[in-house]
Amino acid sequence: MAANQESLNTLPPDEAWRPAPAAEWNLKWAAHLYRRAAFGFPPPQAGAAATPRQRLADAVNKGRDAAIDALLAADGPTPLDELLDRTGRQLALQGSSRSVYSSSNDAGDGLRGWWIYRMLYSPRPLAEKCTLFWHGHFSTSIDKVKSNQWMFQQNCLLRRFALGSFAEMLHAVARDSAMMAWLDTQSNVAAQPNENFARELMELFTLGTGKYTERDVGEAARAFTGWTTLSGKFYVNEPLHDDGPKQVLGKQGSLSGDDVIDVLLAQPGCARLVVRKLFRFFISEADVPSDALIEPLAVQLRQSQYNVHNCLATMLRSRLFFSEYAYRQRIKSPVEYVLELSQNLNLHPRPDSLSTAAGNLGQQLFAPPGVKGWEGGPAWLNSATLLARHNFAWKLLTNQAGFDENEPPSDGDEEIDAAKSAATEAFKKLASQKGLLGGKPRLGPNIDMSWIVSGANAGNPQATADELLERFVQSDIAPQSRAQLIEYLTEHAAPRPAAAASAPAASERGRRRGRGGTAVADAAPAKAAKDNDAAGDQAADRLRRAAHAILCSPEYQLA
Amino acid sequence: MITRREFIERSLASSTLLALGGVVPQFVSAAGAEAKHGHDKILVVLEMTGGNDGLNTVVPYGDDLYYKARPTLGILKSDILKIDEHIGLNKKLAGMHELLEADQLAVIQGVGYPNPNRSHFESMDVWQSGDPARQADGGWLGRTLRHLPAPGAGVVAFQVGERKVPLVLRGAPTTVPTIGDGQAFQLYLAAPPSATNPAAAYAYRPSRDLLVPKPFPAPGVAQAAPYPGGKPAIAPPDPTVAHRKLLQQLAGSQSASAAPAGGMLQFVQRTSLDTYALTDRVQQALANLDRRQKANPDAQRSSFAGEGIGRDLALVAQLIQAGLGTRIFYVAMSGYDTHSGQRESHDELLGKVDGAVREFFATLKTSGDDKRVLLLTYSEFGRRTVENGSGGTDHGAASCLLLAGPGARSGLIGMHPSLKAANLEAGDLRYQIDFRRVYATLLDRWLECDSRRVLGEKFEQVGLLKA
Repeated sequence: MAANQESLNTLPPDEAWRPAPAAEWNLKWAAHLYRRAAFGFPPPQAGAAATPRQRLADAVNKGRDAAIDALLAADGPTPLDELLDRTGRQLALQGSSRSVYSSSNDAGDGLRGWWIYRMLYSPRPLAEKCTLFWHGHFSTSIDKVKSNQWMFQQNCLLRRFALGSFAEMLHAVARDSAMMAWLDTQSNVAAQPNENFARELMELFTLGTGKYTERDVGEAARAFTGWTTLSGKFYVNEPLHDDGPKQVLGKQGSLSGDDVIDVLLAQPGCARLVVRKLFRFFISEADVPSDALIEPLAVQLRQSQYNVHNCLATMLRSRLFFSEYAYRQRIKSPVEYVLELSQNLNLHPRPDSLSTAAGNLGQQLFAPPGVKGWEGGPAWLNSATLLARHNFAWKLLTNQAGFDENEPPSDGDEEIDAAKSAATEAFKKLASQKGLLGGKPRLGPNIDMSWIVSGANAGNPQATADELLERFVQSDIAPQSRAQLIEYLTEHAAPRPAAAASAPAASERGRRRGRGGTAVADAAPAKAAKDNDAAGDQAADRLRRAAHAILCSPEYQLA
Repeated sequence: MITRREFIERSLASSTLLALGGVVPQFVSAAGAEAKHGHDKILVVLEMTGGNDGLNTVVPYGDDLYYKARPTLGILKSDILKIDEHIGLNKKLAGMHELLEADQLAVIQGVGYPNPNRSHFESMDVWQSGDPARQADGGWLGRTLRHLPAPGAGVVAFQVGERKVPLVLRGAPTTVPTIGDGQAFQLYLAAPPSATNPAAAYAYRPSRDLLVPKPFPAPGVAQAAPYPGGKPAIAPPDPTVAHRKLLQQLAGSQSASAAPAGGMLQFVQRTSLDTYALTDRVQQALANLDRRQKANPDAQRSSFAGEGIGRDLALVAQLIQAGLGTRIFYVAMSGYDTHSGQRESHDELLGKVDGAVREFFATLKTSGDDKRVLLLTYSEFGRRTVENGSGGTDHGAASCLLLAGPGARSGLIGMHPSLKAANLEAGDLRYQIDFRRVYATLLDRWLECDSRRVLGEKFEQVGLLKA
């Protein structure tokens, strides 16, 4: 991964961050932008029925600046936002009396599905992407917090500040109930301080190791003593607060927790750490940027009172962002992978099925693996998670992923069952908002292969290969891979009986109509229908396998 | 046992890799020479992530200062599993105590390094790199793999459990594979149920079932007859074979990308090719093991003890018995960052480790493999001597390691660090045994790998092993 480190860092920083020429804009770069600043595709427009693929094509037509402006626009909450807020609040209440939570507890699945839904349908996908980024930065897990409500509150907090002021967000996160439970602020008392929050505040949230001493940690911990929550509201328990003199990073006085946070925000290292993390999340995991490259953005961030929106605007418009130094230089996170996969296949499974899948691939929402969040980059992929991605893609393509709009079977636990029912109802209600979402959201397992290749290309291996490649990787794959794909589609073409020649999808469509019975084709004699079906099945099977191979290709794993 | 050469030829013949212009799976080409019989000892390293509280693991119950520092967390004398008049094990470590009495557990006290770092990540990096100065390339086990022969040119190392490949395994000539579930460790490409191929209905399965193929098809065997109405004259070719070949081809294509070096793409390509080759090898070995165990009802089958460490160690035992030639296994278990409410959570963690290790060695004993296996536990630091106000402990320094297995010299190794205020370092226990001395001993005397080549210098050995 170090191979191109030199070349990236030899770029003059002012050149790197200058806006890219708008002329260079096509499907490849549009997909790149939406993979990074959204979840693969432009958001659905209210009232407009368009598939993810059509939305991407529209974005190409409208031009680069329009696309970036729309992503960065800070419109007020839409009716959909309000509906989502209400639904989230309602789901967060489910299972709230449970004393035991864990990352695998189904009681949290409704909330995970709700967030997935937001990622897919929010009119402001960049805000959702940033919320995910901050969830990793201020990593907090339900495993220890043990409250859906608190995790939901924190999620709303991160969303509120997602593109706002990092400084304000930091002050708010320090008072957040979930964070105070996660890093033990609420049991940090003057008589015996608990260092947990103070240490991670310096090491992970603001400065990084080596920029403070053990003494700074101890003194800062005293400043946060007495901070606690009462019924989910922040308050300072004065008798337990140590208001004696302290010294943190050279600043003396009877510092409060907020004073300590301001001391940290005033350090130049704080903006640098935030910019470095944004760089890795939005631009490249392949290279470690030099200080010189980071500095202009760090200065901008600090001088703007930590305005994240402006910093991201610079990044997303930059020449560096629209260059090969950024293109496919990240590995899709599991959440990105499952959301792009389902949209590429134009599927709308239960959103909690998608969050469960992401969890199985290594990214369980609301339950990051530790205080440092998800490492990202090559850490996402090893032999086990790679196989899991392959197998998940195959299950999706073959309708075996267990996606069902109906209620899942009982868990044998009343409260979990109630939470599942509530989630099912909530998702059905959301899915019925056709006017808001555009398109026709489906929760069911309607895997219809007919859309995968248009009728005109169906019998032609080369045209089929090109259409699949355009859909899934914007035609950007090694020529050798394309040739192999064509060869596969040619060699394994099934014999096509005349009656079945209309389209490979014909038998699938017929089968859907005939679901529940055995009769398939409408008027054909039984024998011919069977043959047609078999041939259609083979053709559909071949297409499915070709599509799967592309969705498992190394190129597709990259963001 | 097939030879290395046979294995390479076999695995290449059955795949399209030869056509890929030299991109050969790394784990195959990595191992230098074959290990000779009797020189194939195995080290299992168990990471306790978060900073295990050493003082409540190996307890100096004879020292009043311990109870002063731990007014609520101190473990009652009556609950201690005694080793001698001063030191004993946490009551949750009954299995470890049995191993100790069976002459199979070394309790190494006061292990650490100079100028201890109290950041989880910095200190973990020190332990994993094997270099407090952090100048070393990769991790100590990763570097060990550069010099370690494996029998039958097998898979020299595995990480067991689904998590990222940690620093400790990096720097190896090959990417150490990760396996989390033996059954899920395969490509599942069976044909879907359809009108002409009706298979079982798939119910909503919320958890990991989503990824675990069911049923368990033999590689290369089609799932169900595609023509239920009658057999066709010629059986259609198994579609998974061509599918599999296509996957390998797409993973091995030369990149057309104009990317400066294609670093990320190459990483994914290599991971894909390695994984495709590995999955067959593992499935074959596990299937052979299954057959052997079915043929011999006396052999105990490792039971998957639920989730977490029990399940991971059960899979390690299976992989050892399957004879893949692996010399190093790495497992991890998190939850040890006990800043608050420590008593309950720490007891639970130790109980789980204890049960898992006991079961692990019991399983290996049935096949006689236990004698060539040692299991080492470690953590990034111990915890502060004095408890905090949250019923927990903050980050500390020196701590204890446990080394289990018939090859270990049983009993206490080294002195317990003093709890006297004058002997503490910023409130934390001072180390007496440099952790690299433990590594060096295991490298030189157990893995038979020159420790200087791994650690960069010579360290005095510790008497951890039986003569």
